[in-house]
Amino acid sequence: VQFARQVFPWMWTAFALAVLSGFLMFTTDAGDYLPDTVFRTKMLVILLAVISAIVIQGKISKWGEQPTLSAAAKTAAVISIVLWIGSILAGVEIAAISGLG
Amino acid sequence: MHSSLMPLCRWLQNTSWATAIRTSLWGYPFIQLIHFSGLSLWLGTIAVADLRLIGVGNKSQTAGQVFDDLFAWNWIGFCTVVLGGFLLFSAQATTYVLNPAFRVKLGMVVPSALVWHVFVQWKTRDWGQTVETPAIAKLAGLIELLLWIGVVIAAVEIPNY
Repeated sequence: VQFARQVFPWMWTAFALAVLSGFLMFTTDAGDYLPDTVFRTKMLVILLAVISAIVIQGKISKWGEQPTLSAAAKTAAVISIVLWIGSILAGVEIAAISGLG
Repeated sequence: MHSSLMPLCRWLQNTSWATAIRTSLWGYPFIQLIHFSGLSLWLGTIAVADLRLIGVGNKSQTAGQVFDDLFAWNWIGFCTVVLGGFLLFSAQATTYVLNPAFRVKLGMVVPSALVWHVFVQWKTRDWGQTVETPAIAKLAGLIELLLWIGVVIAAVEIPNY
């Protein structure tokens, strides 16, 4: 938990940078990106991933107090990892399927 | 030098797996996924460790403790990013080996950054004993971050050449 708390500020700083640069890239071709299904899927997956990150950050103190990690904590972690890797997959698929970027 | 590598590159990209990656719709993005996921782990752990070494942010753990905690995931990330990178390279080896940005990335910046990384990890056993790190450690951490940013810059330039 102590470690996680140290990492959270960097995590959200990095996320802010990713969103900013992502937005700038989006504006270069917004008319093509916006209707694209793969791009929209990526935005949805990122939204879910951010929600999972917020939930985990909120619960981490409680989970850190447990002597062994609960099934809920482990499930949340797996879901979070799957969603973030899913974001990367959706990102690389934009170029592969739609030819954008 | 690259003339002697060309036969090897041609052989690589004609292997069944490299051809599969290059020609299938799903193969290439999937290998990119492996490369970028490994990269996230590799660079993420490096960033957290070096930022602690530089001394910005929370200091409830020493730099040594942070490096120790992250060591396994750092090198797991490395193995993953190298595997993905090798597979990506193999798919189009003859093209990559001639690309100036790729040659700068893999021939110059990655070896430099990697050697420096191992040096910093090793030296942090001493540097990371105290809550406040020595000035030389902060400089070393900063240099490492800049080197890896250089690797990423070289990598994103590859499509431009």
